[in-house]
Amino acid sequence: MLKAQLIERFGLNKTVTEQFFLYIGNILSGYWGVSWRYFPKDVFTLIMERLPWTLLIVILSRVISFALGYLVGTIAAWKRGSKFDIVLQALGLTSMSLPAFWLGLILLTIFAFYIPIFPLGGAITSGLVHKSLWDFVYDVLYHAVLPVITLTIVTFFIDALVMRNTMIEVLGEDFILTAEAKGLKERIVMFRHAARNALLPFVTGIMMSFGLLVTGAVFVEVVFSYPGIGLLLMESVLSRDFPTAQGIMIIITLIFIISNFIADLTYTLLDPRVRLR
Amino acid sequence: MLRGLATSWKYFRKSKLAVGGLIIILIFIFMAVAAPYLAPYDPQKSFVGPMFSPPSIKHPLGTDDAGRDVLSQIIYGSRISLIVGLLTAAVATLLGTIVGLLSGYFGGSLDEVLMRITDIFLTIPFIPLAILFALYFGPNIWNIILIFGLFGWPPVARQVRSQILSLRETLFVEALRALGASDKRVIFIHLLPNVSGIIMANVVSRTVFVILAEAGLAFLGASDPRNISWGMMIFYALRSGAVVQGAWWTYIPAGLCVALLACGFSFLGHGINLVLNPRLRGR
Repeated sequence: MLKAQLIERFGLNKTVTEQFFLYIGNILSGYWGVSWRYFPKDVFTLIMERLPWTLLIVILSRVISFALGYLVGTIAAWKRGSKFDIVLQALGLTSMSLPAFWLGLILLTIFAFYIPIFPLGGAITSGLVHKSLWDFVYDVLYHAVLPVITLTIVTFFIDALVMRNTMIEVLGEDFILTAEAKGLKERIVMFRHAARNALLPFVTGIMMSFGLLVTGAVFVEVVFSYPGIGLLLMESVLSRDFPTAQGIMIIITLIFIISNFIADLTYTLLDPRVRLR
Repeated sequence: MLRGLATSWKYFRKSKLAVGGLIIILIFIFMAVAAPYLAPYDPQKSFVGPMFSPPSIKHPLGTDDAGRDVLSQIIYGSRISLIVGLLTAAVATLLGTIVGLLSGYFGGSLDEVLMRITDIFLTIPFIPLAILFALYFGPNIWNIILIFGLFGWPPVARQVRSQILSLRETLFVEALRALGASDKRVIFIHLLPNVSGIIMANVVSRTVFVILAEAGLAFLGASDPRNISWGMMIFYALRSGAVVQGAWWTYIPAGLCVALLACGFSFLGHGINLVLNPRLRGR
C-alpha cells in the first residue's frame, strides 16, 4: 500500500525518459525535491537559506583579494626582477599547491584554540539576542574573519600574479614611454596610465574565478563549521542525502555560468573596442 | 634524441626550484614503495598506543583518536596520493591529447563538435561533480581515478589543439603531405613528438591539481575508507574534535604532506616550462 503510494508519488512507474523530463521540468519550476536529512524540507528552500552565508564570505574575500592583488601586482610589475617581485612569484607558486582546508585548520588552531581571539566556528553566536542591528553586523563579521582570511590567502597571490603579468605586457607599450618622456611622476604613470590598461584582463579573470572560489568556500566552511552550502554539501555526503547534494551541484553550476556571463559583460563595458552591435 | 635530453637536463638543472621539486617527489615515491619497511606500525590498527597521545619516541608523530600511529598512516598515505595523482593525470592527458590532436589536425565539423563538448566540460564545476559521482557510485579508489580522469582532460585538449593548429600550417607538414604520408603517419610519427613537451607539462600540472582534489574529496568524507589517505586523516581528525583537543599532530603533518607533494610537482612543472620556453630562461 505504502509502496504503491511512494511509486506513484515519485513517478517511478514512468519510463526513464519520462522521469528525466519530469526532473528537468521540476528543476526549472523551482521544485528541487525533498531533503532526506531535513525531511520534509524542500531542497530549494534549504539551499536558499544557506546560500547567503556562502555568498557573504566569498564576496568579502573576493573584494579584499581584488584590491590587494591590484596594488601588489602593479608594484611587482613596476619593480620587475626585484626581491619583492621574486618573493611574490615564489609565494604564488607555493600558494597554488596549498590545500585551502589545511590552511584554514592552521589558522583555526592558532587564532581560535591557542590564542582564542576568534570563535571556533559558526556564523553567529548561538543563543545571543542581538540588541541592535550594529550588534548583529559586528557578530556576523567577527565570525567571518577567519574564513575570509583563509579564502583570501588562497586567491590573493594568484590575483597579484595575474595583475603583474598583464602589467608587464602593458609596460612594454609605447604610450608608457611617452608618458615617462613627458616627465610625469612615476606614481601617475604607474597607476593612471599602466594599471588602468591592465585592469581589463584582471577584472574578467576575477569574475571567472568567482565560481572556483565557491568551490574553495565548500572546504573552508567545513573547517569553520560555517553554515553555508559547503557545510550543507558535506552533511548531505555523509548522510547520503542525494536530492540536496544534487541541488547544491546545480546551484554551484549556476553560479559558475552567471559569473562567466558577467565576466563577458564587463568586457564589453570596460573596453569600448569590444562593443556588441 | 639523447643529446636533446642532455641539453634539456642542463637547463633543468640550473633551476634550483625544479631540482628541489624533483627531490621532494623522489622522496615521496621512496616512501610509498618502501612503506611496509618504513612504517613502525600497521596504519589501520587501532590502539597501538593511547588515544591522542602527543609525539614521543614511541610514536614520532603521536596517535589519533583511535590510538593509531600517525607516522605510519602518513607513510602509507603517500601511496594513495601518488597513485591517484599520477594515474589520473595520465588518463586525463591521454584523453586530452587524443581530442586535441584530432580536433586540431582535421579541423572542420569534427573540430566544432569536439570543442563544444570541451566547452561544456569546462563549465561544469569539477570538485562538486566529483563529490556527487563519489556519492552515487561509491567512493572506491578506482572510481575516483576514473572520475578525475574523465573530467580532467578539457584543458589539455585546448592546449594540444592550439599547438597542432599552428604546426599543421608549417612547411614540414606540407612537405610530408606532398610526399604522400598518411594522416596517421603525420599525426603519430611527426606531430606527436612536437607536442610532447606540452604533454609532459600537462601531466605535471594535472597531477598537482588531482593531488589537491583527491585530498579535498577525502577531507569531505567522500573517499575510500579502506585506504588511508592524507585527506582522510584530516577528515577523521576534524570529526573527532582534534582541534579542541589540541591534537595538532593528527592534521598538521598530513596537510603538510599534501602541500609538499603538490609543491614538488608544481616546481617540477616550473622547471619543465623553463626547458620548453627559452624566453623564460632569462639572459
